[in-house]
Amino acid sequence: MENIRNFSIIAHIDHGKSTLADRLIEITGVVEPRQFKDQILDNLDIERERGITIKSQAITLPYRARDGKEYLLNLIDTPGHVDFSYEVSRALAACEGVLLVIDATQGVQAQTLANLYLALEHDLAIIPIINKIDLPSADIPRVLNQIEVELGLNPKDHLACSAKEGIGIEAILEAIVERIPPPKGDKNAPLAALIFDAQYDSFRGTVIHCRVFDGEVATGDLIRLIHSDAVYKVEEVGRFGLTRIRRDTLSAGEVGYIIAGIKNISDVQTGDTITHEERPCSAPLAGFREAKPVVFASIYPIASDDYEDLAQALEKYKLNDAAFVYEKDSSVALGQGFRCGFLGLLHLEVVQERLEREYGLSIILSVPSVKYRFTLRDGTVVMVDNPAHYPNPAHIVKAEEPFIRAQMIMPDKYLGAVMKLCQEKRGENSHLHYPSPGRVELTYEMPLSEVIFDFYDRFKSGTQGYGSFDYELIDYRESNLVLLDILVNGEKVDALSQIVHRDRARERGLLACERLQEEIPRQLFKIAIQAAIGSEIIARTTINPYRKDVTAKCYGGDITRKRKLLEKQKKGKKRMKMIGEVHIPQSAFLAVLKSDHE
Amino acid sequence: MSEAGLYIHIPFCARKCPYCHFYSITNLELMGPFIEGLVREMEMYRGAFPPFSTIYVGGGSPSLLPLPFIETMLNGVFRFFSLTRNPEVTVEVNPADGDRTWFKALAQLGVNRLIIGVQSFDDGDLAFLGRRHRAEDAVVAVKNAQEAGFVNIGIDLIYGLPQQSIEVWEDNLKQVINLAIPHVSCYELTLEEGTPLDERAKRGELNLPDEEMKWQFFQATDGFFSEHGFIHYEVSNFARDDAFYSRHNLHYWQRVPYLGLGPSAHSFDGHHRWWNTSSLTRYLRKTEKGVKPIEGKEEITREDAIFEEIFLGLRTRDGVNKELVRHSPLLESLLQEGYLIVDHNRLRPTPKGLALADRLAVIICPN
Repeated sequence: MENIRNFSIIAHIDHGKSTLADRLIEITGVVEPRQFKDQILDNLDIERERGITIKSQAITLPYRARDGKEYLLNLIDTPGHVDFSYEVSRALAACEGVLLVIDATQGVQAQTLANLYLALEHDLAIIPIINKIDLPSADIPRVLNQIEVELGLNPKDHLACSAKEGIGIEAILEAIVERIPPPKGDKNAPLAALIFDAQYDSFRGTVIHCRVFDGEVATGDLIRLIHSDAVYKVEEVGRFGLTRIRRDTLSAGEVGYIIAGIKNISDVQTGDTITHEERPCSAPLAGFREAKPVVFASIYPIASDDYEDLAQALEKYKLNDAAFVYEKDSSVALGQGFRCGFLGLLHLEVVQERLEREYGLSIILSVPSVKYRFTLRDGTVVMVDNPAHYPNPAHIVKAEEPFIRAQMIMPDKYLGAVMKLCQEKRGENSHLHYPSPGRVELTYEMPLSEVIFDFYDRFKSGTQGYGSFDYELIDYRESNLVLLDILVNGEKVDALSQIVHRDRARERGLLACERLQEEIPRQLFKIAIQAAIGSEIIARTTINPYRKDVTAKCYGGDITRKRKLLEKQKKGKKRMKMIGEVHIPQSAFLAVLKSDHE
Repeated sequence: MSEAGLYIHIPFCARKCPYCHFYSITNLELMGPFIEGLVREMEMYRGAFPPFSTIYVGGGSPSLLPLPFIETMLNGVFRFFSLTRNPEVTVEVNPADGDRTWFKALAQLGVNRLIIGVQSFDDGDLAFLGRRHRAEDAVVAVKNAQEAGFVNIGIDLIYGLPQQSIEVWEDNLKQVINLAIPHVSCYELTLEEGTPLDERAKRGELNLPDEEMKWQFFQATDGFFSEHGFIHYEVSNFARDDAFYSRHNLHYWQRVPYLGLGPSAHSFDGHHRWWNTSSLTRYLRKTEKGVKPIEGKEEITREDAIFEEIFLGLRTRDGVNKELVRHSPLLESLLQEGYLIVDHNRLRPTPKGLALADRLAVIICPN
């Protein structure tokens, strides 16, 4: 165990986290330079494009240090968004230290700080790394000052490098060995291993990524997943190279994988503890949270012929995303589809993008909803996460919505802006706490529905990105809820219905009407777009019809060109949904569910 | 009886107008070689088409052609192709070119219809459009043509110029009546990709009318001519009575086969459409070798054909066969809104429908 180091790299976006990871991988010889593809750890297209990591990844780097000893450095990459903050916390829980990367030209930025807070919460050793020192605009003295003043770290602890040019990488490896403590644990104690991720392999089933804290696991062992309460026989264990490297055992302190004939990735929960069936550990590792979907929306194919393709795509997608749940659903306006549960809005966007990109599907999403609770006159209690199932208002005696406790950490100068935002979002019971000078921790209780829409984006801009935000569900509280419908030329578009607080209804209704007005192309008829609560119209917009759309000339030489042009418009029309006589493009559905402040 | 149309493209202009995207060059020395190439091209299509009932000489500026060249060209047509009885033979004329002797000679060669590129009867508009003639020239050209014995005369006009008012536009239309012209094409100014005018528009230099204003022009034009007893028989075309319809252009809209000769000309045999090279040099090289100067070709599928029938038909007052369009609540609404009417088993666009012919086609096409 003395020769193992478990660490993660954390950084503000574009400060060079992935490049540094690549350099460490390269220099330790895991990959031949000629096999090298930039940014090995960000596997998904979406991850590269958005510059965020969605899935955790891990790799073991063998390293012979200057002290002459061989070390195994386990690099665990972490996701970068609040929707996945729980996954981040589990990945960090598997580490003893982090490399905090700071761009020498940009200095300390928002996420530098937010990430530092996270690492501090996990009591990790922190090595500040100043990257991009090769750039002419690098300003190392300024960054050193920031490390001291803004991060409260000792600037003498820093290392400087250029990941791109491969400068200073050796020193970083040495620092990992010297300054990150080796894992503690007892190889002879009962097995306790933390699941920090899982991936699906079409040949082997679910591959668990875990960190062993105590004990040892070997092929053939009977293991128990404590929270899932399931027992499996281990088929293979090993550690991560660029591919999986099979080994006989995984012992205390090590990071690696377990394959145990688990068919569905959803049978494995991040944060769960693995122990032996025969000789279990006395208690599960701390910090487990069930990854429950909190945002629900329906997915429909634009062309109803694509329903089967969508069903297959969801089935495949689900194999690699344990947090995603779905079931059949149907809409009057949009036909057959699926009701899906997500961890948050980003998760929803990721799923939507991957379905479109990787499976070539054009889909429409309904307005996302949280799960509401209604007590009816006859005493029954119903949970509703789909506006289509909104109970008859005359039967409702009590309506409740889920509340969360939001925990926000930020430099204190942003406190005013954040408190204003929280109040606007119907926040209550605030608490303030100063963990260190200049840094404030704020908690608020808020309706989840207010948080899922655009809270995170506005929080980030309100703190100029310097704040960190996390939340947990606490309880249900009584709320004045109404069902808001959207009508296009008098026809209700059920996918656009939403359950909202009465005080929010007019604003939300008008916003939806305006978004639709912008996105629905003009047609041959006047289109009325209305927002209504029951039979009461609370907002409306109209789209005027086309007046002139014809080319002046169409003679012998124009016909082919003209046909091709109109053919394109015809195709575009096919990609729209017909609601009554109105063609509604996919973008209109998406626009309605976009946040309010863009 | 099967018939076809013949189009001949004359790729020469004295100068290029900034709004025009048709192929032409200003080096007039190539006229002689061009006429030779043209006659060779005719020979290559001998017997390939049914008798021609219309011949249309367009461009470019056909009126730049000296008479002997026109004679050689028309003789070629008579020699290599058969014609129906009483073919319509049209030549496009620039108002700057039309003197009485030239018109008389044209008539003697068998030309029986003239299209005069007036564009506007306002000198300011003409300057903006970069035309080489003045309003007065247009009036003289029309009168000369009439004195030379031409009855079937059409003029082209353009509306929707920057800052143009409906009143100024209507002054143009009044001239049509004053000069007793039986056919007129009223084109909305169109920005064609790559033209100098398009460049100016992209730089934001032009204050062009918005869609509502364009509709006002369209409506005013339709109203004016219906008041004067003209028939609005196609989106941009009006005639005093059906005897003055452009028979040649009707071929295009009714999907009658046509042969296009000369650089950039398109042809259609009912199942294929092909087009010639848009380069006179290449055209001459190919025709000299006895090779057809074709640059591209496409096969028209059954589906394409139906779509063409719909979008071309909807440009005309004659409309489309009702059987081509599936009956639907949407169609019902289009009828109710007054975009279309049903008449003799045809769906005919109203003037309001003509203004939206392209959009209607996209909407009612069954596939």
